[in-house]
Amino acid sequence: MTTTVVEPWAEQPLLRYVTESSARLVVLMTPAGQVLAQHGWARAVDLMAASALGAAIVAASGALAQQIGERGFGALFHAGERHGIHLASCATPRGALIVLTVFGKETSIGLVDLFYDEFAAALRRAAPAEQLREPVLAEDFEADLNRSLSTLFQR
Amino acid sequence: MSAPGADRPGSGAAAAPPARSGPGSSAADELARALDRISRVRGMRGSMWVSADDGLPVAQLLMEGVPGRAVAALAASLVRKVSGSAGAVGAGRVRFVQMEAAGGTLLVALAPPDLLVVALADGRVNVGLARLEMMRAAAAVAR
Amino acid sequence: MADDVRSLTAALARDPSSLRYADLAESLRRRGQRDEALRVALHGLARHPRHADGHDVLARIYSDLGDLDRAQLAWGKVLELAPEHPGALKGVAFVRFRQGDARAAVEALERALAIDPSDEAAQRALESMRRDAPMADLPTAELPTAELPTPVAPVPAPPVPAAASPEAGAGSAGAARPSGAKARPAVFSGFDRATADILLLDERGLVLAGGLLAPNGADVSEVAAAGLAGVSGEAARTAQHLALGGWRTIVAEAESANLVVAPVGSGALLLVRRDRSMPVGLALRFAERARGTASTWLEGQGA
Repeated sequence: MTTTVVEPWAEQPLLRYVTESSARLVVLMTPAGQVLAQHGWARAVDLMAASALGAAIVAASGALAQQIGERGFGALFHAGERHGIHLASCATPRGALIVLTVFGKETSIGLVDLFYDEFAAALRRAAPAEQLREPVLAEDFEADLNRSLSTLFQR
Repeated sequence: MSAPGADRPGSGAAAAPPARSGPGSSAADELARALDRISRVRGMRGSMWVSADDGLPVAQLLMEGVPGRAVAALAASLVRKVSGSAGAVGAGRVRFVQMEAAGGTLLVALAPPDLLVVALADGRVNVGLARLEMMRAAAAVAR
Repeated sequence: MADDVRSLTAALARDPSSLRYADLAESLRRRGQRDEALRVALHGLARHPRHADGHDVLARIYSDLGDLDRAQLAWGKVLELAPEHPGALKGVAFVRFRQGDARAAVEALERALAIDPSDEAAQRALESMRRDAPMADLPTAELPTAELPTPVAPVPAPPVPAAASPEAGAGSAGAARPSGAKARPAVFSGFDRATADILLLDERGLVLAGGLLAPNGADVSEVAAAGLAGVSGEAARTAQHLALGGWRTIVAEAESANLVVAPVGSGALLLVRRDRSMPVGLALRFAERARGTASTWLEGQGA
């Protein structure tokens, strides 16, 4: 599994978050679904789909919050049989960012949520205020994502 | 009793018996009474019921400044690791875990199938008494 | 020096705590600089003991060095941290294949493919194994669980040691060693059940001294050590986050035994298992004595 970033300032906070939370997959994206950083995704198509869906869910829940008179909701959490997801947005000097985390049974929502707060704070501290350069599309991560182990089987 | 997550800045619960919130139920009262008894042990800084799988607080009674969310999540994770190791060395199911550190002690009693009683204490704590109260509380809710 | 190694080295020099050590170790490994790769990986993992990718790289390095036992342990650690790590599953498959256990190799590859059906390396390896191995040897049932230490059934009391045999290692006083125990430094000679219920390991989860036996007499020291390294890391993290200072001991009261875990020196870990009949307070005192002995021995080793 690899970690790749578009903006260098996001790398250390993301690496620390992944290590502490034991998350399996993480995407850091803009509210439009454009990926700024990722960890653990094996295929670009999966990353693009997840980021688009994650951004849509945050937008929909934000609209629902307004409907009921709330300024917004905090983190959204779904528990599955083998995996859970944690979805939350945070404000940074770069603007709002969304973090989608997928985790397994080796960790817990309590740990993920705990270290998400630290991650969000680290992003706020690390993010520079100047304009984002255009985030690259998820396909650009393809070349970096796979570590081929075929050489092992050749020995 | 403060609600889970209420340990964010400015919302810590006092160690004295708190006013009960929410709909009164015998199960919730029982959990609260157990925390109350545990909190009276000398040296206690806080106690809580935690969901073992999720690492989330279920009920808590904490002194100001005790990070309930962190205690819950980290205690559950530590117990999970210790339980795995205990199984690997043939010790069987874990009932109680005590971590002593330079600045305090973390105590956890397991209340299967899915709850933990967690207590955070300073160096003065009467561990024996705390353990008894926690094991009694765990036994009362275990099924 | 190749550009990637140069840039990664520079990145690490700027930030020694960076996780890029894993990339550097992998680059060095691919270039055949295995000793340097091993040093980089071990140094990085000392800072980041729960970094699954780092353990994965370490496993590949050990594999390149021909140390399949250590490679297997390292991949086991990866799967403990990340049960669906594709690299570790394939690595476990490779080790099993090399050990002649085609069945286990196929099972691990099938699990890797269940996680990522598009993994061409796993597909080719699986096809190759199925082509070359007798059909009767290969599993057809559902996928097994991950390569993790399996729980050992508890018993009411530890087994009585078998007929005494000379303790191996320097300084031995001829203390009895249970028949299942492997020969290791006799650090705890003189302690009750020195090679059956007392284990000293390093921060990587590798056994240094002592031993742990299962109820059936099998030596489970290495399995226990691999799991205990995770406990140590978790305890350190918990104590740090809760501002408790350095952790000193963990006591676990379990159905059939009490366990005491304690750090020793810089990075080593001690496990003492005592029967439930021994009061916890006494078990703690016993463990404290053992820790002192272990500490003295480690200092003598220059550790």
